[in-house]
Formats: sequence, C-alpha cells, structure tokens
Amino acid sequence: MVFSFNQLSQIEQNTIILPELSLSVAKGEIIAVQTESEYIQRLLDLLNHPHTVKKGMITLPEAGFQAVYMFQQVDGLYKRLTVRQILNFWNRLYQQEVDIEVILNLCELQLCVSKKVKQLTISERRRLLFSLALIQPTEVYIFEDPSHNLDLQSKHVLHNLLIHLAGRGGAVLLFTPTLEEAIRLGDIVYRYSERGTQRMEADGEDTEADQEEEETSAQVPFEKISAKVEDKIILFHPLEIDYIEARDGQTFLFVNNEEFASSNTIKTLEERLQAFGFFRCHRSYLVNLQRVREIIIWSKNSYSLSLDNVSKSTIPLSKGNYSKLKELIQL
Amino acid sequence: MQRQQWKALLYKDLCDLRWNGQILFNTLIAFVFIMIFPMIPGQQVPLSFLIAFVLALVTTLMQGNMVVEEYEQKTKQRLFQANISPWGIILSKMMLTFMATSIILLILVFTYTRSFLEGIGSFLMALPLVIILLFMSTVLGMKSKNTIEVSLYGVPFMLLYFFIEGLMMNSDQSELKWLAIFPNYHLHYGIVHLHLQQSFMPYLIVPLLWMAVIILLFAIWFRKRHHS
Repeated sequence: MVFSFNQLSQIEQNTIILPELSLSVAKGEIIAVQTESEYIQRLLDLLNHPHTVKKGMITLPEAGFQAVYMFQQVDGLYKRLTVRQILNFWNRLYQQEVDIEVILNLCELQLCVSKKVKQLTISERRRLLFSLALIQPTEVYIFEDPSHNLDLQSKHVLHNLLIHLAGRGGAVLLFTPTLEEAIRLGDIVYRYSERGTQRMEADGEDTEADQEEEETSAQVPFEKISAKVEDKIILFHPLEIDYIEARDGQTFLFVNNEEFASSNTIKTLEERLQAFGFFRCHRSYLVNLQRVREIIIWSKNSYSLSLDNVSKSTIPLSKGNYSKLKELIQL
Repeated sequence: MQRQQWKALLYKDLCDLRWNGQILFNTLIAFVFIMIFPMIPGQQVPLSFLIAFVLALVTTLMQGNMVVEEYEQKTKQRLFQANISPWGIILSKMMLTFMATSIILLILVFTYTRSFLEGIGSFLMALPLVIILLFMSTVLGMKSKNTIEVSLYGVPFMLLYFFIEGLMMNSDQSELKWLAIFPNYHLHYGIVHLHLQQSFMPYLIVPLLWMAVIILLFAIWFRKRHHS
C-alpha cells in the first residue's frame, strides 16, 4: 500500500461535510472513485492544505505530499510559454532529465510543441498537464475528474497514460462524478457517498440481480416503462429511452438528456426491454442499441459505447458483454 | 531550494517576459520618456524625475504584474508542490525586476551625468528606492487579483511620487522642508549635490532608513500571511 485514506472525515458545526473515507491504493493499481463534485472539492482542499488534516488520516509515501502528483481542474499553465518550454521548465524544476520526445509522443503533443499555451485547445492543455505525471518523480497520482470536457483523442491519451503510470509501479487514484468514467478508467471502482465507501462488484457478479429476482417474476407484461417525478408517474415508450443506469440501489432512465428515476430494477427492465433492442452492456447499464453510434475500443479490456443522443453520452461496455454484442450485431 | 530550481524559475520567468506585452510596453515607454524629456528645448529636467519614471513604469509595474500573474494563472500551487517556498517565488521575480531596473538606470545615469563617479553615485542614490519599490510592489501584486488591479492600485502611489517630485522641482531646498520625510526628496537633492561635486552620503541616510523599515514591515506581514 502506497497511499491511503484512513477514516478521513470532516465535520463542521455538527454537520458532516465529508463522510468517512477509508481507501488504500497499492502500487500498480488504478482506483476510480465515483462521488459528488462537492466531496471531490473538499477532499482536494484537504490535500492542498495537508496541515489541516489530522495525523494518521492520510498515509503518504515517505517524501510526503511533495511526492504526490495531483491533477486538478483549476490547475493553470504559463500562457506565454510554449509546450516545449513548459516541459523544459518542469524537467528543471523537478531536477529530472526525462526525454521530452517520449512525453510528446505519449501525450500526443508533437503537433503543438512550438505553440504557446494560450493557443492550445482545452484538451491539449489537459494533455500537457497530464504530461507532468511523467516528469514529477512520484509514486502516487491523484486525478480530479480527468476526462471532463476532453475530446476523444485526449480520452485515449489519458487511458494509455494511466495504464503506463500503473505499469511502472504508480498508485493511481482518480475521482469523478460520473459512474461511466469511473468504470471506464479504473481497474477497481468505488462509490463514495454519505454512507461511506462501497466497492462496486466486478461485472458479472450480478448481486443486485439475484436480490431482485423474486420481484421480477411478479411483473405483468406491459409495453410502457414508468418513472416517477414528484407526484406524477410518467410512462415512456421503450424506444424513447437512450439508456438505463443503476446506481445507489435505484434505476434511472435517460430520455432526451433528462434523468428519471424508475421503480423497476435493471434486471426487470432488461427482461422487458430485450425485445425492443435493449442490451445489457454492463452490470449497471442497459442500452437502447438503436441509439448506439460507435463502439470505442480503448484497450484490449476497455470498451465504451458512444450514443447518438443530444448529449453524445458515452457508457461503459464490459469485456464479456463486448463479445456478446459482437455476436448480436454479427461483427 | 536547490540551485537547479532557482535556474528553473528564472528560465520560466525569462521565457514569459519575452512575450509579456504589458511589461515590454511599460519598459519601452519608460525608455522613450527618459530619452525624449531632456530634449525639450529650454527645459532642465532633473535626473531624479527621470529615475521616477523608471521606478514607476519598470520596477513597480513589472514586479507587481509578475507576482499577480503567478496567482492569476493559478500556477503557484504547482510550485508549492515542487517544494518551492512562496519566498523563493517572490525572490526569483525580484531578481529579474532588479536586473531590468538596474540596466535601464545605468543607461540613464551614464547618459545624463558628466563623469563616471557622478553616474555611479546617482545609481547608488537610487538603489534604496529601487529596493523599497520592489517590496511595495510585491505586496501590491500579492494583494491584487489581476494585472488590472495592480495598475489601478499602483497609480495613486505613482501620482504621489510625481507630486512630491513636482513640488521639489518648483521650489528651493529652503522651502517645503517637511518634504524631507520622503525618500525621493533625498534622492533629488543627493543628485544635485553630486552634480555640484559635494558630499551626497548624508542624503542616503533617510532612504536607507525607509528601506530598512519597509523590509521589516514586509517580513512581518509576509510571515503573518503564510502562518495564518
């Protein structure tokens, strides 16, 4: 274990502002934590001001916080420096002699090496910030919602970078508010809420499904899918639904960029909607195949489905279900 | 902080300065002013007035802008993460500002004085004021949110400086003796005495006292700010 949170919590004026967090990251692990944005902010505030953390609540590498790479959404860059000058500066700052060409290659920054930071796109700037992880001598890498607002190319870069960092013995911890990103990026996924940390079972261990099996047998065949909004019950035609997500013990229908809580379990919905072209792409996701535009292959073991809806959502596709999908669409 | 880290900070600030339009523009304007003012026919512009231009446009604005940009661009956290202290960040910027100010001041004094000794003497007379303004503009940069605020809050101080300078230019030393509490009064008359080949050393005492007090106040404020 290289880095851990040991019952870290924060209480202010009798209010729990940061629920208890217990989590450890070992060398070579990529742990993704799905949680609320406000919890991510509070955690990063604590990490930015380590003197405010009670002793023992965070276990660090020997060199302390200085030996932790942190990527934060607010991180800035010197806008008048070129990409090469920034990389040279970081190399000197950390007294390293990392080959800049290797970094440029891994982070796909070759085409903008002579561009000033202010001329870079948001995704290029992010890739430049990620590249510091290859220079800073550290064992622990913490990322705050790294794929937020990233283009597809940069998501690929991020994915490869995380694998590279873990491959050279780094302990990678990332926080994201979206479950699909946590599943896509992490080898191990945790959900952190007011109830503390819960590890998400690997795909295939369908515990929720077993638990709810009895309920499903009592379902009456019915074409419309219901969702409750305040005191109203809305009925959706199956083909209106883009995809369905199960989280925090509840099922959510995604229709026209809006989210509706459904009282049915994902297992029940899977059985009812199979006939309408719905496919269980992940333990927590059921997708309307009519909406799938693209199957993204990040690596041998990591896949996503890109949807043709308003928000161009991306949802995870597990390895086992990738094979099933290939058969289904006769690939 | 390691020697290589100092070099890294100076490398970064130098690369940035090459394209920093605001600082380059101010420096260029200061240079143009000090070259043009003495050419006005029938006017005898004192050297201390020209030094004031350099102190205002180069020292104050350059240091203030460089400090505030580190906060404005949200890059300081990364430096702290690399074990660079806040004092290290400020000192590296002070070194660059001091270097830029010194080069322009040396060009100025050697252009407008008759002898090498008079030039060096004038430069020495200006040094306490350069250091005072370096510390004051660092505070200005740290208290401001962006480069606009640096200019906005810096202007009243510059106007006060030029106001005192104007009063001295339009009066004799025997009049308005209360002006002697200000360090630029001593710079003005120190240079006059140098020009007349008289001793200028007594005119260094008040600026040096001001410098000591400003450094002390800065140290107390800076310590308090980083311990709270």
